[in-house]
Amino acid sequence: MSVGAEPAGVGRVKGPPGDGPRLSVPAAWKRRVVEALTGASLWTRVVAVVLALIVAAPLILAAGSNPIEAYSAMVEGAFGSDQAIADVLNRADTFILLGLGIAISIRSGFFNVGAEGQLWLGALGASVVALYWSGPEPLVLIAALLVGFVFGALWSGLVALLKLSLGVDELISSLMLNYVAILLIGYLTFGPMKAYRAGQTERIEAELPLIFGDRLHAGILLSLVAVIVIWLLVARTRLGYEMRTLGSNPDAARYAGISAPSVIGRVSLLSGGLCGLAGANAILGAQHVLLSDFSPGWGYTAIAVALLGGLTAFGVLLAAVLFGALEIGATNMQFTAGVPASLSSLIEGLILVFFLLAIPLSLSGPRRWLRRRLRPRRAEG
Amino acid sequence: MSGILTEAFIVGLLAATIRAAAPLIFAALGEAFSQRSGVINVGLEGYLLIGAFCAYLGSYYMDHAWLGALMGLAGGGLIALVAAYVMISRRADQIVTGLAVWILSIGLVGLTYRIIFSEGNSLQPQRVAVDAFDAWAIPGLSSIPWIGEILFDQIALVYLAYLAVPVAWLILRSRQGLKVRAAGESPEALESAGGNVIRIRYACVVATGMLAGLGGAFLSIGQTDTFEEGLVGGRGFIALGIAIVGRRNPVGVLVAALVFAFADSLQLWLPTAGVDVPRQLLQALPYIVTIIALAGMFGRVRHPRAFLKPFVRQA
Amino acid sequence: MSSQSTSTAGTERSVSAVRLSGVSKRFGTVTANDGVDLELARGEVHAILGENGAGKSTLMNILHGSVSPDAGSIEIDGEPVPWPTTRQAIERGICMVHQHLLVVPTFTVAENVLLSVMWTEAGRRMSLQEAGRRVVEIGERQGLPLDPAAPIDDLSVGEKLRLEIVTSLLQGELCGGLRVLVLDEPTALLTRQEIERLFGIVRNLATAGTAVAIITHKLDEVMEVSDRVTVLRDGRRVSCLVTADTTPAELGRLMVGRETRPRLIEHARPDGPPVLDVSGLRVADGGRALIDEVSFEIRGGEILGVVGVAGSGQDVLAECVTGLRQPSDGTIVLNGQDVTGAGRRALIEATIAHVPEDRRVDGLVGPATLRHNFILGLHRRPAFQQRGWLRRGAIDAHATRLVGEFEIRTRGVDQSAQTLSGGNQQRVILGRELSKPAGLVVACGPTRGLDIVGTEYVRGRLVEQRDSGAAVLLVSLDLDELLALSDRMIVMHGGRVVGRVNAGEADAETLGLMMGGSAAHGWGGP
Repeated sequence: MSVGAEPAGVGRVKGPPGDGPRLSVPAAWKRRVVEALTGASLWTRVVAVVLALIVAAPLILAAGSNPIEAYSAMVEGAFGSDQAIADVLNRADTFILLGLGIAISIRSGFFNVGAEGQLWLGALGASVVALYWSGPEPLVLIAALLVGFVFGALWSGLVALLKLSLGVDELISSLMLNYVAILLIGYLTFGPMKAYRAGQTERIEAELPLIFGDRLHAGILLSLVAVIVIWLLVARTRLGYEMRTLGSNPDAARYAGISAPSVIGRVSLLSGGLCGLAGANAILGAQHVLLSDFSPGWGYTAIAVALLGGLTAFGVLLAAVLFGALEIGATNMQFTAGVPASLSSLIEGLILVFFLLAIPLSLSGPRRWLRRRLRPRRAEG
Repeated sequence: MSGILTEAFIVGLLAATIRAAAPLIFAALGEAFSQRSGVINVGLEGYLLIGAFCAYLGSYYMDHAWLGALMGLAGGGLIALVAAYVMISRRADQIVTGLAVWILSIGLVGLTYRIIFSEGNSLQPQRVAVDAFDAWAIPGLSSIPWIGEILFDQIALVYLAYLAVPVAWLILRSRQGLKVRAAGESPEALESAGGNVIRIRYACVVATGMLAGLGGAFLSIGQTDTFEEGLVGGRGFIALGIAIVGRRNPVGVLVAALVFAFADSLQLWLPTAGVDVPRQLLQALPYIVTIIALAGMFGRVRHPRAFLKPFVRQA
Repeated sequence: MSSQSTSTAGTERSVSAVRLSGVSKRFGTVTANDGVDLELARGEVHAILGENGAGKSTLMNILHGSVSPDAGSIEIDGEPVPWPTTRQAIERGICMVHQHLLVVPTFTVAENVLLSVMWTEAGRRMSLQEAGRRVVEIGERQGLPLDPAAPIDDLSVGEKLRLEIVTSLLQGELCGGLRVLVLDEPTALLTRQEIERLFGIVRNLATAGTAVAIITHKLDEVMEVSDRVTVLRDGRRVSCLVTADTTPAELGRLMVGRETRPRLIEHARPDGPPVLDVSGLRVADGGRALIDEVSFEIRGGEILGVVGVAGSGQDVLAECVTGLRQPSDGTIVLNGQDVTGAGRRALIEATIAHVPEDRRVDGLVGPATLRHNFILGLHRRPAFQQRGWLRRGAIDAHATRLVGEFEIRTRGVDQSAQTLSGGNQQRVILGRELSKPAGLVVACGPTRGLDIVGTEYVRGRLVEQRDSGAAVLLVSLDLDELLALSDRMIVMHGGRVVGRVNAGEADAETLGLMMGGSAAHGWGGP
């Protein structure tokens, strides 16, 4: 069930020739994923968001609240104050970095769903450096971020290694490693790294500097830099060229002499590194302590962010801000409108499902239906 | 270490293994059929979660565990139907759809759970016990020393799961099984004989959902009597692994499920024997074992020829 | 020109089993069938003859219910009926043996048979054992022995064909008699003895009243076994003749077209060392040889055309030469260097320009821009990247220059390749490939799907390449094209080279015979 990476070199098996179309499955199914995701229009996304909000409304009513009120409370809760905006951007950081990592791997045809595990590992790496190395703060910060990146990259590299050498499917192995990562941090925070209270470490003194007010930390700058770097990588470098070709059309990539294992190996390291960086950023910027329940599943939410963002750097940026606003807005809405904050998870899931439904629809269904309706029936022999 | 060789420990551990394998068997049996027909249910984790929650709700409102289990079955089937529509009729990518359905399930369950079970303004859900399944000792058989307690003193859902194995085996060998296998290996051949690939795949996916719903019911009202959001804990993904490692064969699935359930049960039972291994290491065992099992296949997994390929009827 | 006369054998001959009238079908912009009439009479063996793309399989798929036509009507036993679905067609005794043997490889014989009959009324309740029993029974009766428990993978091609026939016979038995049996290119992979046995069975079935339709492109088989033959070309019915009244030559002419295009170019016979020297090339897949004993050479300044019906091995040959497939045996020498099995990347760096067979699959990245596509395969060259960074200015200039030089109609180099017309897409590929200084040009089906203007353009560029000294390997299914452009030709059939001709020595008729494996130039020979 792997996507992409077919062993190069061995005789290619081509479909049987024939004189005319025959019953068959479309040969291009793999291409369709990336094609559909990157090609879907902005309109598709807007429709998906709107539909999600509509479908979620009955549940808001069930919670005993007025949907209009609830939604405006969400908007208020996300953008209504400096603090709120700061929180939104801080949350968006994490989603941006995670989303970028996931996006580049899917773009290359390699489904990285291990983002959650890489996130945790990155958090661990940063915590270890920050807790046990005493040095000048700027150096500690930089080192912690770097180590976070490296830990994430290694965790992802492990998945790629298992895939390329033992043929272990990356979907399942990365998911399994997610749980292992969480348990590892659980063990450490209840054991060797535990502070006065089990389940967390000592407070981490090294902090990312605040850049505006008393909430917004430098992580947002880090993420913006990452956005630009990834954009440049994908659009302007040879590796980016090879990634895009491989993900869009593995056959053409082969024709072009691109080595799938080489590309995937490098991309998976970078992807994991970004997710690890997200973890480091979350620790050093916002949480300042490593908790055993450090992430409520951001790595999975980020999959939706990456897909909704059309797998592009700037798309991810926008989708990340949207999801950040959704979540922070929902947390605040919980207090004013009395609707549980889980509403944001539901809306996120709905947006994704509607987006997936909308892509094929935008390519065929309603348009064809409309066309048939509008054209006069031709006389048939 | 001395506690390991006592009867209490061994019987307890094995009984727990038999118990813990039940949801895995339910989920993986269905998935084996789905995959044979060419569809993967990455959202299996979501089917389990929805099944678990619906079962809990059902038992809560109707105060009867069996009715709850029925609700769980229905809930699992419904969410699988949604996934089936997106994957089969709309031909969206199966892996992405599965992830989307899973994320959706988490959100749906989380929200609904809080809406129903939070008191006043607290928005923290109360843990409410509901009517759950009690162990149902089979008269006579359960008195057999050792084996009786391990195999024949379980709840009804567990017996169902193990009964499902030979039933699945029979179905697979029957005409219906032939259709399923043809849909996954050579949908063109099936269609040229007059069959309907789409219908077969839908049936398999929905059946997977229903079985997973029962598996979810076990998790919420089978082994406990309360609901917890994280109760599925990756079992859906482990079940995907089990289906593959078990070569999509009921017997293979049974064996693989027992192995993972054993690893899972160890983490509950080893501490009671005085073995001092970090809890999390034991908890990580099932996941690590899954990876090792897959690695041990050295990529020799043979997928059905039409696996993951949306079927398009030429017209 | 259609002549119908009463046939000479059998008693139910004049009753028509199936009559198709005015059948038309388009797939997108491709017209597969255009107003085709076909009548299959009870008890006759009716050949449906045509080249690739003539529309034979589509027509039969329409009859069998797997494709629904845009226009046309059908009569069964003289009675007009609505177009049947596959299930309905089988219920009416219309059964088909497909070209690519639609069997499930992991099943046993009995399981396959059961799968094929379980959808009919009568077969609904059949058990696996029963199916096995019927297989043995029919097998004994018809001389088609099969072991019901044998896994399909163990069967030879001849045995798989036997299975499909037995399946159709059983379907016929369960549905009130086999009215029509369609065989789609059944002899493609059979030995001579197996073919004779097949024809024996076919004649028996016809004598018993079944209308047997055989889709083929092989002239000698038409002559050998059929009572009547319908010739299709470019989606239209060209003629329906009584086999006894015609000759292979006439059929060949009808099949490939009477018009001989005027020679476009002066043909060359250059001297000098060969640019490409292929010797004893063989590719084996499992037990079968896809190509075997293929040898030829091409010098600079000449075009070598590879003639053959689809599936004769030319694609495999092209893949080997361009590094996309590893040969099992033999050597490929390019400009004096042995590049056998060198791999794709090495051959890209060598002086090869490759116009791939399926431009949308291999040659272009559809959703990507023209800029992207113009450097596909070239993206590692120093001209286009520097230490990992793409040189956008150079890439842009390259793309713009090529758009102008190859007269590509586009909004700009930013346009995505898939929105271009087929002709323009092909120009993109040509532009990219021919702008490399290439000693060898490998062009596969370069004018497929193009209109007249596009076709002439592509051919002109290929000749230009030849005139400037390149060696050109032209693989094409378009016989006119090969005749017009090639300085020399090799004809492939069944994976081997069965004929070598120089320009001017052969015409459509002779080549048609060779392509059909006919005796004229070495049927079955090396």
